[in-house]
Amino acid sequence: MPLPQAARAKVFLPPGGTVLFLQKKKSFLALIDTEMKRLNLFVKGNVDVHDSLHSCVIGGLLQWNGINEIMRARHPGSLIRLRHETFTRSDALLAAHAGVPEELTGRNLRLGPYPLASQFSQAVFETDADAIILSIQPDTATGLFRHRATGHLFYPHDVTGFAAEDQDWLKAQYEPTGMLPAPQSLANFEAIIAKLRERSDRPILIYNVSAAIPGEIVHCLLGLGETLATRLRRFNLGLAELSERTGVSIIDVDSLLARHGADRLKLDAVHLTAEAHRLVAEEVVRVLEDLGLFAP
Amino acid sequence: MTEAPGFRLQALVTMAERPIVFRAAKMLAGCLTTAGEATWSIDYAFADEIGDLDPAGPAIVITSLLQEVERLDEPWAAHEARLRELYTELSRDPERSVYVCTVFRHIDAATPRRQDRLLRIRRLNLLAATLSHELGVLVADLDRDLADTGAQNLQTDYRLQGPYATAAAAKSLALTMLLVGLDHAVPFDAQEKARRLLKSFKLKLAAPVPQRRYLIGEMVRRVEAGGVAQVVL
Repeated sequence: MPLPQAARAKVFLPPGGTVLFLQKKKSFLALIDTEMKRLNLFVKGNVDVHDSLHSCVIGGLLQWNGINEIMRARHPGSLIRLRHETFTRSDALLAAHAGVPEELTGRNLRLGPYPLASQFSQAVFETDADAIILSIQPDTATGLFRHRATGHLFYPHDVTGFAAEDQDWLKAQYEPTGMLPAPQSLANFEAIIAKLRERSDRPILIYNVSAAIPGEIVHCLLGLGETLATRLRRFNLGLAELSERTGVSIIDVDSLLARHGADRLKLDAVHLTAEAHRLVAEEVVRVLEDLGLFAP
Repeated sequence: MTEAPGFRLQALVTMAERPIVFRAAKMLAGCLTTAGEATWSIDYAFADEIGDLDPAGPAIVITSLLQEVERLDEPWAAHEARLRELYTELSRDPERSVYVCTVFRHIDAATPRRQDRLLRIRRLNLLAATLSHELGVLVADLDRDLADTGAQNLQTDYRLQGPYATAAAAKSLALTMLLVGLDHAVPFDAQEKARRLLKSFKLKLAAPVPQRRYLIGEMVRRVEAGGVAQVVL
């Protein structure tokens, strides 16, 4: 009997796969419900977490199909259901408890992967997911804008694509905050962890970032500002210290790339190759295993 | 008869790192000789402690933070203060070029107190950058260069043992020296030529590393991504 399309998608059978022993769709779905273990992950982050855990598409071609590729091989009876939300910055997440500010609701801004609903979401604090995955990458690299009157934080993604009147409005109403210093970022993450733990003690995993920056070759820093590599090292160190204090798990992308060769696995300062995403996804599964989330 | 060009350096490094300094000196001499018309000679002396360094001796001093990784039980505040004092002392003479080698961040999973060591390595490497900011110490970022190649390809860990790691670390150190800190000992033109030669020197690795091929659309994505704050989903 051919497998119904919905059921096929659920168990990831290849096209043309059949289930000979099933007589009825209803009994088949019941079997899935009893035997397929699902792990729900809430993932808040940007390209690093999305491309490693969900999928990596480059030039319209699927290069990496996400964490369930690993699950099928290592835990055939389990699969991961992922909910992903973009993440502007830790300070914005902590400040976003009042919903989308009215100053923004009336404007039709093209914010790409950072819609207002995501920028001012509190879903990460309200979810019942089995584990939460975050990343420090947004804090290392994103500059936000602060509203001059109310103080709310806003990320005008691709501001150059805004209409001229929206750009004028942005300049008049908001001021840039600059980059977040590492100590402030890590203090924010500590507050986020505490808030997540008010709801439950489920595992929290946080990605660090690779500090190997292609093309950055500086040997004497006297008189220079902070280089990107030094900034990322500062964040990675802060996260390691935070892990010691709070017990959150680090997805150590920095060490992972150092083990396998960053030059071959990085496309630029931020983006990784499909192979690197697979390695990171494997590391996430390994950490989830260590945390006992696949225990029978 | 003119004297053969050359210079001397002092190295405050562990026993395990001495072959790296030896190899780096050999690479430097080889490249400078090939790049010019004269045969270069580079002499070196090792010291176990700062007190063993010859104050009237060579003005090029190579130091490493590797030995500091094992001081896991020393509180970090005291550890940092001691190193600051050491490098302040070393940097007192403005004519002296002081290099500090960072520590490769790879530690095998089976290594005892792995997390403690990794944390200490991260602190030490960040301190190297801070000391460079504050004192002008020259950073030979072995961590960065070896991370680019990868611990698996070099069959090594933070201790830099094995022939592949020795060669890679020596190349990293020699390239750093040809980029900064040798102006008082080597003409700029000779440094530049030697640097180009050394850069083209291919490291022998444990296994051939496949070259990354750009996929169709990959470069487009890089352009689209623009700055680091941009995200392409």
